[in-house]
Amino acid sequence: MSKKIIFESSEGESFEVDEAVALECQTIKNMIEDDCTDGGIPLANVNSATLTKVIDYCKKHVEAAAAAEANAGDKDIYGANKDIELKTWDEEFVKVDQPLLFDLMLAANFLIIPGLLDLTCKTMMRGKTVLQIREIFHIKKDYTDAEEAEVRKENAWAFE
Amino acid sequence: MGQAPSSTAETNGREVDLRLWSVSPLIISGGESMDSGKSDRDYTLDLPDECLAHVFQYLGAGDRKRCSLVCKRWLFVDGQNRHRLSLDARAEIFSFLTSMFDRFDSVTKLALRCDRKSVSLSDEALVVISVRCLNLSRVKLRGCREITDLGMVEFARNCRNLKKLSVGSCNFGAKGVNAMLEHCKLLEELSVKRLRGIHEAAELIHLPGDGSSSTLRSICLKELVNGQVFEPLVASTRTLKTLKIIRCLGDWDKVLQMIGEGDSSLSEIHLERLQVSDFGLSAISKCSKVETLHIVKTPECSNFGLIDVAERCKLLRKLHIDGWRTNRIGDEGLVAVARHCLNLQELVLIGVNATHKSLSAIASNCEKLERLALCGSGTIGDAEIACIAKKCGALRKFCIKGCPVSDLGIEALAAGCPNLVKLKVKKCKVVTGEIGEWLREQRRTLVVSMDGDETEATVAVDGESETALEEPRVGQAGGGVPEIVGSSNGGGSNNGGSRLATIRSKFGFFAGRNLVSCRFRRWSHNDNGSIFIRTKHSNVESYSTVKASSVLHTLVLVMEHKLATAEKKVLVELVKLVQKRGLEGEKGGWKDFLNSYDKKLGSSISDPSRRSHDVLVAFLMSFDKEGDRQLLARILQCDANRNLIEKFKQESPDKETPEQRLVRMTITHPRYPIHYAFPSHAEDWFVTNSGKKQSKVIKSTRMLAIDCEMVTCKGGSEAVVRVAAVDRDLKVVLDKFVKPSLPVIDYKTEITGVTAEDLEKATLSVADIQKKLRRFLSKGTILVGHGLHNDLQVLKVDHARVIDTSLVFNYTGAYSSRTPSLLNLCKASFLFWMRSCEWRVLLTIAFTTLPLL
Repeated sequence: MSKKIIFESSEGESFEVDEAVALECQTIKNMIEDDCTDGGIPLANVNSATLTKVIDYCKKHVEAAAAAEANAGDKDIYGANKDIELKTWDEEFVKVDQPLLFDLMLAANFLIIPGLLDLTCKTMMRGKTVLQIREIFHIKKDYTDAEEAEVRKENAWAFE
Repeated sequence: MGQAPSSTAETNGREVDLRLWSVSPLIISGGESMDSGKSDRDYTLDLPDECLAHVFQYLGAGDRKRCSLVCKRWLFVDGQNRHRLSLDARAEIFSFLTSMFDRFDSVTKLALRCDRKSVSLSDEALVVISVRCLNLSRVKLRGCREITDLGMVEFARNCRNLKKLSVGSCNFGAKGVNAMLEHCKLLEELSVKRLRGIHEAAELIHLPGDGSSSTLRSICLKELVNGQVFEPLVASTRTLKTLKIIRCLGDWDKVLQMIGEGDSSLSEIHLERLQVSDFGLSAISKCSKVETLHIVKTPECSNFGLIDVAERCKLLRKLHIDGWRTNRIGDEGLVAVARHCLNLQELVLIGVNATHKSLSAIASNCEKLERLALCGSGTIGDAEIACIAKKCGALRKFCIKGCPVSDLGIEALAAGCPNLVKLKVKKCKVVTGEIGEWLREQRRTLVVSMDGDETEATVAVDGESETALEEPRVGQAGGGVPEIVGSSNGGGSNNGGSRLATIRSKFGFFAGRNLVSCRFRRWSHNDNGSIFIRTKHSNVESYSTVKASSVLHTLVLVMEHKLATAEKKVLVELVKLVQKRGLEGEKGGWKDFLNSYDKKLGSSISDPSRRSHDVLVAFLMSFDKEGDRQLLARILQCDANRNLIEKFKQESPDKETPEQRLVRMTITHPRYPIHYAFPSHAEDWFVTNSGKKQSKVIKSTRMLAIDCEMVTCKGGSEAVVRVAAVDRDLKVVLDKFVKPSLPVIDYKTEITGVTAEDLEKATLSVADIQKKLRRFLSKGTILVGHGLHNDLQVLKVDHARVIDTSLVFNYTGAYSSRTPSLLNLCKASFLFWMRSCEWRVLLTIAFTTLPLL
């Protein structure tokens, strides 16, 4: 439990975390299993701000899992509340600005943290109109009007 | 999907990843330095396609559609990663198929649905699809009436990887099904519902060759007229694990006997509303591997059959019996189960009059029994519960519903069943809420769910029939049709007495039995086979003549049931309304009807309140035009909704939930009757169905907040142009533009945010919105809105359970004609309501309304 893993962000900053926390990342887990984590793990494509968030996330989820296990007997009564609490925490967690959200997504994809990847992907563009999406993400429309109409027409055949 | 490969060797994996990823930080840093307004950057460009696909994976079909319109890359990524596609299978789709399947080239699960008013796609279209999607693994066809056997044969030839096929309401027949069996060697699941091409002269359905190479594991037959042609398939498929036969006409004993004769590997059998007798059960008993058996509403099955099953099916783990209160299955059979089925884990008894005798045997012998449900039985009382409490050591989930159990029985559970984690007690009238509280105190780990509870625990027994005690599910077309034919034939004789009798027997059907038992009863009463055969014959005939409109018949049956159970007062009102409107049924207007219906009295007594319930119902049922029927249905629904509200008003407000309190505050508000009296009898109004179970509806905490934006149209009238709805989790479930029927003169863009441009693309009408809302407004959902009556008025929706925040939140609490504005409300309420449960409600409204302001 006490074993520590050291991450190094793209800025060269070091972050020390418990092994259990690091194990949340499938990529790191593989590295630990292969025993090549000595001297820290350089994460050249994750900046410090993102890494802090990622570690926060992993910590919280490791704690939550441990708590759930300890209360396994009472789960029927308290488990539900705990789940809700974690869910709200998650929701708060992803309320960040776009650059960070995308960085988180990339980091989660790279480090393979399915929960975090899901979380960041989940809320992104649900229930938004095309124009809203383009506006929010600053995406340039590369359709001609005719092309767009064509796709629209085609889409009409698929059920929602 | 969307994840970097989890490498085996560390260095290897990292290299790959870094190569993939090294681009992104560069872009980010470069981007930041280049343009100072970094917020304008398109961060989605950093995401690799796989990651974008991962995002899409979380979206529903509607959102994915919109995403595909954002840009070409998104269109591509969405198309490449769409595995599941559900298409509107109207004939006009044909010209789009090529480009569509170019785009979605990795679809493996395809559903083609055509509504019953449209012409479906043809054989040709199906073949085009099959050529494009050779890798389909799951296919669902619904209402594709134009597809014939020829199309299915071609389809089967092309899509050889099919694992699951489900067809419903199609017209092709046995040839098509046989072709699927012949060519799709990997087929595992076959589900066939209302396949009209399976007629009397249909060829038999069987596996090619000797069937030894089959992979078929599951067959489900529903609502078929000549389902018996599946006999060779069912009997010869040795790999078959699951067999479900539900509401299929005709005698099924023989089919089951064929299965029983072979060396069957069946492990799960469901029989529901079938003509199956003890011979059939006896045959099932020869399938020694059966682990799950459902015998639901098969009125001919009795203890003898059950004893056979119990004696031979030693592996039986789950047993569901719905005896339909016929009393043919009872203690005797269950004692046999107790004696022989020592592996029993799950037992559900509905309408079975079991007593202490059999239940104590089961409790002591079936040591593995984990889940038990006892529903709708008049013989299960405190003694039975006490004995279960004492002896069922392994019991984890226990459900008691509609049984004469009192607090005493529940009390016994405090000391027994050490492993019990969930207890559900419903509709047991004498059981009080206090005993539930007490039991919760006594056993902290036990989740007790009772009638009065706000939160419903999950169903105690997996797969327990929810409709257990409700009126039978009416309107299963296959079952109902012959009865109607019977009555109209009877009408020919014009004998008042016999006509009445037919109608009564029809209602007898609704009082708890359907065709099979009716027929069975008639058969057994007369002890005369000829009647039985005649009825059966008329089935076939009627089915073929009305096959295209079986759904209509479903509606007819539902309607009939509603009328038959309505109060006379309502019927009288209906008859008067019909008279006023000058509507005519197949026998003409009210007086004409009376003259032909009752020769003796004729129309001498024309006051509907002085005629019997039966006469009124018979008259109202004579309306065969769909428009008329819909009118009647709407009025009935209005009435039911009104009753619901009245009933709710009368209930004491002591134990109500916060949601209920808000509803009460709305409906008891002096302005409610003024605002919420809608002209819902009008044709284009949609009266929501409040659901059958009143008690459940009243307790429902589902919520939907809704808001409409209105513009001014030519002539000064208001028209709705945008509708948004948010559910309790603040998820936007609906956000649509509506096309106004008149030209708009003022868009009020500063208020509505709607521009002419938005409306150009709008295609939906108010009726379409009603249709979309229908899904969310069932089973007592509470509609929430600010000045909700305005929204309902323009949407033409009449809904029973509403919370109107303009009525609920009142500055002074006293009557005031001034209703607060939403903005002020939000300011004031956040302070006061924040900590209570209501803030969620408020948030919901704010969430819907504010963004639109």
